[in-house]
Amino acid sequence: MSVSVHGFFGGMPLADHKAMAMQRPTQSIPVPEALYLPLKGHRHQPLDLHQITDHLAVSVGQQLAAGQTLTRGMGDAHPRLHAPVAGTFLGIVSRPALKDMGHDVPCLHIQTDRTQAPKKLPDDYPPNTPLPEITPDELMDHLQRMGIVGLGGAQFPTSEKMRQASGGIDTVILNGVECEPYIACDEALMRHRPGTIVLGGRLLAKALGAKRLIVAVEDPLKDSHGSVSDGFLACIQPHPLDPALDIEFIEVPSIYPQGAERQLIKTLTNQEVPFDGLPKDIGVICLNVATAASVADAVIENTPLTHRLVSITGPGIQNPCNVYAPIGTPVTDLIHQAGGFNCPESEIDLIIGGPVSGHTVSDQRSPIDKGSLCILALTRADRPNSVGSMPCINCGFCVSVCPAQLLPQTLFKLASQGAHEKAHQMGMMDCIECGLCAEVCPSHLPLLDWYRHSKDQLRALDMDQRRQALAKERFEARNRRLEQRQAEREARRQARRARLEANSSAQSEIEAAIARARQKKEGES
Amino acid sequence: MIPSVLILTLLTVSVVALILWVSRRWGANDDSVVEQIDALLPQTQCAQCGYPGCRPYAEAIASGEADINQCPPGGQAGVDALADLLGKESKPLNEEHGSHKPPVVALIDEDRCIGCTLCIQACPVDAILGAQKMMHTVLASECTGCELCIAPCPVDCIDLVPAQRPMIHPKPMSIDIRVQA
Repeated sequence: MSVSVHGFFGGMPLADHKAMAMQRPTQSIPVPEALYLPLKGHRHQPLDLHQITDHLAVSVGQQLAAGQTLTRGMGDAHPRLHAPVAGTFLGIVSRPALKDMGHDVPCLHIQTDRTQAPKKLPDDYPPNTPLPEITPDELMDHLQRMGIVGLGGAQFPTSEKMRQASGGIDTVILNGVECEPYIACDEALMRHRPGTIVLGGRLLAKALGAKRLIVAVEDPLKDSHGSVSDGFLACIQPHPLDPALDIEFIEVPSIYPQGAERQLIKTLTNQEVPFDGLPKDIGVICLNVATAASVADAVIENTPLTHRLVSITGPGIQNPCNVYAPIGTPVTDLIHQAGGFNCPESEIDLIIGGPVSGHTVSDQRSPIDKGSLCILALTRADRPNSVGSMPCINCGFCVSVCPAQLLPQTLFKLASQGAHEKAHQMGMMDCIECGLCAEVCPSHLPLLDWYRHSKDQLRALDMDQRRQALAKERFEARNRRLEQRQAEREARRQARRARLEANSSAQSEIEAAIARARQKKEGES
Repeated sequence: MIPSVLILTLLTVSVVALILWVSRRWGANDDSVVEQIDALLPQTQCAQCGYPGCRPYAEAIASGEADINQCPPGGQAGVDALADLLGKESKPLNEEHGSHKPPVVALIDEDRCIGCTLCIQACPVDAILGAQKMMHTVLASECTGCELCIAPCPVDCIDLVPAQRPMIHPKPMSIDIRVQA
């Protein structure tokens, strides 16, 4: 099938190092001693303990079965969590956060039962598995109960994404493009379970009423086992079960950041998502392939999202591989599974995510969450940018690669001067944090860190402004209420006074009562 | 000569009249200045400035009664913003009204609360819930940290705790290379 593939602005091909993690078969990790399930769906909404304890579905000391629901009804920003393995719930503890260096995150602490066998990556479904009968609303409620979130990193609840998009969706894109070097967890999944991915995509497409399902992968995904497309084409060619659905498999050129949602949509449909809109505005919904697979598992096998594939890779790792690990596994257990480091730990830069847009892991006790794709160990030699930075020379390399079509050097100058609001006017919030600008910067400026700092400042500012508006509203409402109450009281007082003055019978009654009292007094004396 | 003088006088008078009418109709009035000042104030409603809330303070600034440096929660940045808006010279924050502190919220020690409702009456933004002889609690998301509930409490069961702030990605450390000449 020939498909026309378009391009997006900017971007740059990067050397991929996927083969490193793909050289070994996908492994299951032995059940870790303890799991810490991070209780933070979204990093900009801090949780307080009251909120968490109100929504716990288990009590401290309770025995847990594998797959048991741990939290419920925390709202959409905090999707449900389930016990990945059998064990005992020990309460809520603080663990170092994986991405926010120096911050802690509240976690559900589970002491695991170590006699159980680790869960293996489930087998693939045969290509012609019939779709179960399920209405769109049932599917969304079910996905919410099963804790399904976007597994590409953002962890946005899939049910919520579908609800926002329902009606008006024409194309469902399954994103199998992991354009960042080293990350290979989606490739491993696509080689093992193409049927599951397509089945999940068909379920989503049917529920959303889409007519087109696109599975997008990178073109150079070929190794000695053959292209990843062979597995998909077997699932795609015969689809007599959904004659109305047009399933396409498209290989896109490997130009970083091709896997970013907006860039992929531009490449596949030649339509741009509005900067202040969402893909649904142009009739497209884009989901990671791993999300589609977990949707299929949730519907057919009724399994909640408790495990994910993580790449443990990089030149600093002894045996790089993809690991099927329970959510909440500490990073140190994952590294141990991959044979540990092959050089002194002081030489290692440990990163969560890819080398270009990842975050530094400052503490190996941090547990992984549903959006952890890759634990990458780079040696100092691989990180030229850590040597120090020189002043910006206005070379403009960053402008030519920025896929969001921003002016990175201007944004850098504003952000580093603390002029975050001016940076906002220059489109700071449209930065997709791909990190290419910092990658090409000849002065090795830590541009991405500046943008993350500035974006967080802007979000905090926005929150403050909302709080201020709320306080003002409540203050004014209270003043109105007090004034009204005062006026009512005044009116009542006036009315009473008027009644007393006007009503002569009341006056005479009072006088009569006084006279009676006087008579009585005189009689006594 | 007379007609030209007449025409010029007529023109001047009509233009002046037009300008006056336009400025009355669309120009800045007292209310809009108060609005703009109020928008810059932190809306803590803490009354540290000496006025019973942000709006009254804004009105006092607009009428020239109060100075612009009386708002401790707004801090020096707030004073600068007000100076910028009003076209005045900025000045340091007046420490007589209090010093700038990081944001806090009130927290009621629920074991010690006797349910007297005094704090509820003091709260300027209705952020305390409770009833007579019932335990009270603070809605942390609505509390402005104004401290007005602290003084009325007869059993001192209200503490101020740091407000929960969103996480901020740290500023990159600059490891600049200096080229030796």
